[in-house]
Amino acid sequence: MSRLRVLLLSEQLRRSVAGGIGTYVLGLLQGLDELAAADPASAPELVLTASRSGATPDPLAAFGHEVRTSALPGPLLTRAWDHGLIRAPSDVDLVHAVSLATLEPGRSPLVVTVHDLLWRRIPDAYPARGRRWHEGALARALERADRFVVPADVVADDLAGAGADRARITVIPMGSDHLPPPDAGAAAAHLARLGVHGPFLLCVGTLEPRKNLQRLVEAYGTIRDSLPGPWPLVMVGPSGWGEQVAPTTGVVHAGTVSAEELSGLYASARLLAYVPLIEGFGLPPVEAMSVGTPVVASPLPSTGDAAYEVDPNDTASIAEGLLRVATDEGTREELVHRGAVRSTELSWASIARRHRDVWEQAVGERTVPGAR
Amino acid sequence: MPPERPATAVHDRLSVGFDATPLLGRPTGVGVFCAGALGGLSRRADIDLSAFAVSWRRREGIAGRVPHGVRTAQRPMPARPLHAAWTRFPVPPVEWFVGDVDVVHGSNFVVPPTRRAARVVTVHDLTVSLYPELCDAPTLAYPGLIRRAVADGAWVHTPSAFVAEEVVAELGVDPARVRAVHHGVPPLPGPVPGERGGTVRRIPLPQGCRRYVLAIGTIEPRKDYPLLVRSFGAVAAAHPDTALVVVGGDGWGTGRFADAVAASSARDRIVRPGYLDDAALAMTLRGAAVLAYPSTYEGFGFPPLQAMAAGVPVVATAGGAVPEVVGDGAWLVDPGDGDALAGALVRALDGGPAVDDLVARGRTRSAGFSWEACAAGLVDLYRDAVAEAPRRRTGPR
Repeated sequence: MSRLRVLLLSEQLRRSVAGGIGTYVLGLLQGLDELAAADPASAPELVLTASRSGATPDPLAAFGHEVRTSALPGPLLTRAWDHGLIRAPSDVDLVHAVSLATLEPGRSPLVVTVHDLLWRRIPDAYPARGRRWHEGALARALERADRFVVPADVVADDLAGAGADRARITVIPMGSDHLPPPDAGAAAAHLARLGVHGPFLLCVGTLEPRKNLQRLVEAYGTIRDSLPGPWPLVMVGPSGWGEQVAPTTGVVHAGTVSAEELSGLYASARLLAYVPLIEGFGLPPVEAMSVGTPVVASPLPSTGDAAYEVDPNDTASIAEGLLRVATDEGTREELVHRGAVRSTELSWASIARRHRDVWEQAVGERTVPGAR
Repeated sequence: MPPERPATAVHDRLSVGFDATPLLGRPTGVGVFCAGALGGLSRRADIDLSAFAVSWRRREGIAGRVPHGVRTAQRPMPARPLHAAWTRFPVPPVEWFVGDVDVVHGSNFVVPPTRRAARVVTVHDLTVSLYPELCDAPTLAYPGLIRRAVADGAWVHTPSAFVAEEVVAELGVDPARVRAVHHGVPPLPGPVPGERGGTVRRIPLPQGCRRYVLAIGTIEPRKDYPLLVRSFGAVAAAHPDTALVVVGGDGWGTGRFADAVAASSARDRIVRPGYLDDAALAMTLRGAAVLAYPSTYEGFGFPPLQAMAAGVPVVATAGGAVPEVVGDGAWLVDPGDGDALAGALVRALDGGPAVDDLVARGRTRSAGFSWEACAAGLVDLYRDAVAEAPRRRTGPR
C-alpha cells in the first residue's frame, strides 16, 4: 500500500502560544515524525494548510512537510471553509480537521477531532457568538465528516447525543511526552523573582470560570497554616486573569512562562492542583505526571486513576486533597507510581499510530466494494 | 522426610532483567559490555533472560539488538517520566515493565527500583571522582545514586578489581557487596572475504612508511597521547619505516595533543584517519606492528586485549586496571615515563624472539577473557544477591 497523503488543517500552528488544540497538533506532528523515523514506508505523508503567512517562507515549512499557504487571512479563511467556498485539493487521500473548523472535503474522506461539546453543557461559560459558531460548526462537521476522533468517552457520548453515529467515533487520548526537558535553572530564577524559594504547590489554568480557580484558592487558604511551612500556591496562566481571583495570602501569580520553564515548574512542584468543574480531557495533569509530580484533580478523562481525586464543587474536599498529597509520603509514593505508569501509556507516537489507523479505515470505507 | 538432593544439585533457574539501554544510540564501551554479557548469559541453560531499555523513542530498536532468545520488555519504558519518578520514590518497580524476575542488573551505573527482585549495578569506572569538573549533570549524580542503591540493598559489579577497590575507597561501599567480574574480549569482525580487493580501505601511510604503531581511543586526558607523541620522536628515529596511527575521535583536552604533534620532529609521520567502522578498525588493528596504549586511568581496557587476541604486540602504561587486565601479555611502562615507552616500542618494532614470546603470552592471556567466563561470574554474583535479598528488603520502603 502506498503512503497515505493527508491534508492537515493546521491553523492552530499560526498562534504564537500553543493552546490545548495547538498542543494537540504539535504532539500529533511529533508522533507522526517518530512513526516516520521508525518505519518511513508506513507513515502518512502530510500536507499542512493554514491561512496567509506574514513571512516568506511560511514558518510552517519548518515542520518538514509540504505546506499549502492560503491567500486569505485567518478569520476569512475559516469563514470561507464554513461556507463551503473552498474545497480540499484533489491530490490528497484524506482531510483531517483538528477542530470543529472544517472545510468541504470534496472527493476525499474527512476526519474531524472534536475536543469537547462544553458550550452545550455549560452555555453560561461561552459568549453567545461563540455558542452560535460552535453549533453551526458542529452541524457542518456532522454533515461533512466520515469519522470522528474524540479524547474521551464522555465526549464520545456527547457527540453521539448530538447525532453522530457512535460506531464512527474513535476515542484517542492526548499524549504526555511533548514538553521539553525541565529547565530547572530558569524555573528557579522565575520563582526567585516571585519570592518563592522552597517547596510550593502549582496550579496551571486559564481565565475561565470552569477552571474553578476561586474555589481552589479558597481551599488552599484553609490548609495553608497546616502545611509544614509557608508553602505558596504558584498559579501559572495568562497575566491579567489573576485579578479575578480574590487576593489570598500565599497565592503567587507567575503569569505566562515558556515551555521549558513550565516543564521545570512541574518538575520542582510539590504537587499540581487541577480542579476544573468540567473538561474534555485535561492536559496539565498528564504533563505533571510525565515529570514525576503527584496530582490533585477533579474527576477527569486524562488522569486515569493516577490522580488524587477531589470533588471540584466541594472546597473541603479540595482542601483535604491538597493537604494530604502535599504532606503524606505514602500517598505521594502511590501517586508518583501511578502517574509514571499513566504517562507511559500516553505517547504521541502511539497516538499518531491510532490516528493513522482511523485514517486508513476512513479511506478504506470509501473504496468501492469489489474494486480492491 | 524430603528426598535427599542429588550430590550434583542443579541450580534453580534464575530469571534476570538486564538493562540493555546502552545498546541503543551510538556505540560505546558500555554497549560492548552489554552485548557481550547478554550473549554469554543467553547461552546459559540456568538463566531466563529479559532485556529492557529505558527509552521511549527507540524501544522498538532493542528487540533487534539483543541475542536470539532474549525476551524484551513489553511495556514502554520512557526515560523522562521514569527517571523523574525514580528520583522521588522507588516506583514504579521494574517488574511492572518486565514481569517478575529474581534479579535486575543495571548495566550502566544506575539500577532501577524493584518490587522484590535483587539488584545489581555495574560501575565501569570512577572517572566522575577523578574529573568531576568535566562531567555532565547525570554523571555527577552517579556517586550519590550508587551509594543510595547500595544502601537499599544493591550489589555492585565492576569490570576489574581495580575499580572494585576504588568503589570501596571512594564511595565507602562495604567490600562484601562489591564483586569484580572481568569482561570478555569483544570479537573483531572477521577479515573481509577477498580483503585485497574488498571494500575496506587500508589506511594510507606517509611516504616511506611500511608499518605503523597504532593507538586506539578517544582523545581525552586519561589517554596520555601527548606522551606517546613525544616518545614517537625517538621511535621514528630508530625505525624510519614506521608511522604512528591514532584512531579515535576528539573528546576533550585535544589542545595538548595538537601541541605535542605540532612540536614533534616526526609530525609528518603521525596519521589520524578519522572515524573507522568496525571492519576497518579490525583490519587496522590486525595490520599494526604494535599497539601503544598509553592510558593513565582505565576501568578495564578492551583495545589491548583485542590486540593480544589478534597477535599484535602491546606496549601499555600501567594505568588503572590495565596491568590487571593485560597481565604478562603486554609490556608495561610507568605512566608518564616517555623514555621507557619509547624504549619498549623500539624493542617491539625490532622484533625477534622476545617479541614472539610476548605475542604468544598475549594470545594465552587474552584467551582467559571470555564472555562465558564473564557470564559465569555474573551468575555467581546474581545468586549471592538473590540469596541475601529477602533479608535485605524488610525495611520500611
